[in-house]
Amino acid sequence: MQLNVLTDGQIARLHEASLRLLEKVGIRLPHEDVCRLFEEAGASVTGDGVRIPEALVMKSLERAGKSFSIYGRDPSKQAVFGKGKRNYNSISGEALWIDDETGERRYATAKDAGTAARLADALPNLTIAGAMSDPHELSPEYGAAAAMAEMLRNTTKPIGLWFHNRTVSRTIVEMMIAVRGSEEKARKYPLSYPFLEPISPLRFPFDGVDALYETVRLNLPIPIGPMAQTGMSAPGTLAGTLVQENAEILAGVCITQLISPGVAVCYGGIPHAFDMRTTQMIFAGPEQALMAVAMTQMGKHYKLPVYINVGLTDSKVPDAQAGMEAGVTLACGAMAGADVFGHMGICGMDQATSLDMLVMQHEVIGYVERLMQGIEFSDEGLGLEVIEQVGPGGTFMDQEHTARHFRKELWFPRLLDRQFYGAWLSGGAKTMAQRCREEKERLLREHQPAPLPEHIDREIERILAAARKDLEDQGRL
Amino acid sequence: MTTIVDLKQAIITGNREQAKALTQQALDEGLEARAIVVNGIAAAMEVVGEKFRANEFFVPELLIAQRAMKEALSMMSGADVDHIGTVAIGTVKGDLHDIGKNLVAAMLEGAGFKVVDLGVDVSPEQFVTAAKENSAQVIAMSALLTTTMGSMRDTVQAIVAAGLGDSVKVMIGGAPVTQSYADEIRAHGYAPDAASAVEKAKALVLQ
Repeated sequence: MQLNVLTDGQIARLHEASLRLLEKVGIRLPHEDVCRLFEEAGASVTGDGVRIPEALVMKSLERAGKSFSIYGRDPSKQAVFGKGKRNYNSISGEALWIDDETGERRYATAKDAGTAARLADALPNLTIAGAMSDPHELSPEYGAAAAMAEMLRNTTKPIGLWFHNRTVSRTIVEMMIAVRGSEEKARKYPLSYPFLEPISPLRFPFDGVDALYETVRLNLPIPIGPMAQTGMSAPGTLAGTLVQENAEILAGVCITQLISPGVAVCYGGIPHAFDMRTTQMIFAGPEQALMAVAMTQMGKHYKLPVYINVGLTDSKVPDAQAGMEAGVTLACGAMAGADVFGHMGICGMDQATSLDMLVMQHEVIGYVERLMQGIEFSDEGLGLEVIEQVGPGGTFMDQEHTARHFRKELWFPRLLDRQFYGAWLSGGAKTMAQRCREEKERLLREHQPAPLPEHIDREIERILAAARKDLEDQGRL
Repeated sequence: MTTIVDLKQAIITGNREQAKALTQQALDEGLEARAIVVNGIAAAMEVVGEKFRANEFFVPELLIAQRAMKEALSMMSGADVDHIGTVAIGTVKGDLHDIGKNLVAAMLEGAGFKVVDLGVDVSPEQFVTAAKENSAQVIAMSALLTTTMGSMRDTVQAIVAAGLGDSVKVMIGGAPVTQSYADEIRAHGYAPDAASAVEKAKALVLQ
């Protein structure tokens, strides 16, 4: 199954256009060390402006690692990139959180990251557990590390979180080493990765780039994903948005290869449309499906693993809108063949974290995974023999052929309603939103993740205490 | 004893051939017929029923297990199995949609009923005749169309007119049929799906 929206000619044109953009307009990169590396590599640097020649882009693309895995605390839990596998992750962090008891929106905490991890641990279709929380009560130099500790106690899966700056990245890297027992093992089995997000149009944040100087110590792979917005931070056309988004990703690839030649990257094609009435980003309109497929084609053209934003919604609750948007965009993205589909569990356009939404999206993933299995053809599958046996007018329901096959032919949803009307009514006439909430409550009540070994927990606490003390001494906690 | 355990397992997994062979083996080993039925066959069906109720087993698995059970039972000499009751079943006059009816028939048979399948487009008179000839305790009718539903009322009335009002119970089903429609036409039972149709038929026979 393969969905394309760009022709080979269009891919070549986008590539050429992005190269021209990088050469002529360039990027703004407020990081002296990396600017120097660019200059040494032949780029034209003026202040924090960097114009990147085609040769450097092509060399960087060639050098970049094109497949990698990240591994959970339990290394058998793997997210494999660049090998044709599909991975699904919950959002790495949000400022706000829909409270699971009151249903009200409040600021997210480090403890919430533990809850998010436990739920992700319980949801089999999620490959990477996201923190889903940017702890508001803690400084950006410390918050993600505290979230990481909560997550390590609550999931054995690979972890997704925002590496906000160099200081917190250093702490997180130390924690990863503690989990594996040695730096060598931590390099071999990366537990997480930093996400490098260019700020469209054509800028890079100092902190996001600076953090890489810590993460390359463990050779952590680097997804690069700008969120260019059509008509706001990118041209008001989809094609124009793609040109610019692609240029930003290519510039990001250059940055990673200058800091650490050969480090693996992931092509984060995550542009979005923009709502001209509310002036906010559109998470999951039809344009999202189109651009995600186009971006997947671009990333694959460069032979890189691809990260896209599909399976999301602008709705605040798991309702009809959410199902429509998440379903259509994820199906298209999966058929395009990306490696990771992302950032599940957001309430609307980055309005908060919603665990109810995550549970709904998990169901959508199950649906799409069945879709991607396609139709299996074999003599047995064609069933001529059983059709002959049953003959005109009979039933297949009591045939062994049916019993043998229906479990692998059919997808069995956990949450979708397929009851007879009366049974649905007597079961409480529940809506999808109610079923999602109940499923979340059940999973959080029942699921017990494998405990973090005590000696690792102690070491994590020691690292956190040391980080706190450092920050306190500098008055930055 | 392991033969009985294997037999039970063969029935649970719906393996007809194995169920037959193991029943024969149990008899050859000199095991008592009653022990084979109680500890092997009935015990297996109890497990199957539990799994079905727990949504672990689905309808096809239930049906193939029931068929394996019947094969095993047929091997027991003199064990001419008592039926729970007799059901005459068909789609109503003018209605050719028999997918649901066939499923209910298969489920009833699996559950131990004698099923007289009258097929499709069955008139009230044919239902009455079949009930008389087979001494059926239950007439089961299905309709897919609102335009053919009316024939259910006619059949109920024909049964009463034929003097079978006390001895024959009528149950109805099909997409447009509801409990309130059953009440309205004075049918004795309604079932929204095949599994509850079996429960309903059992209840009607016991009445």
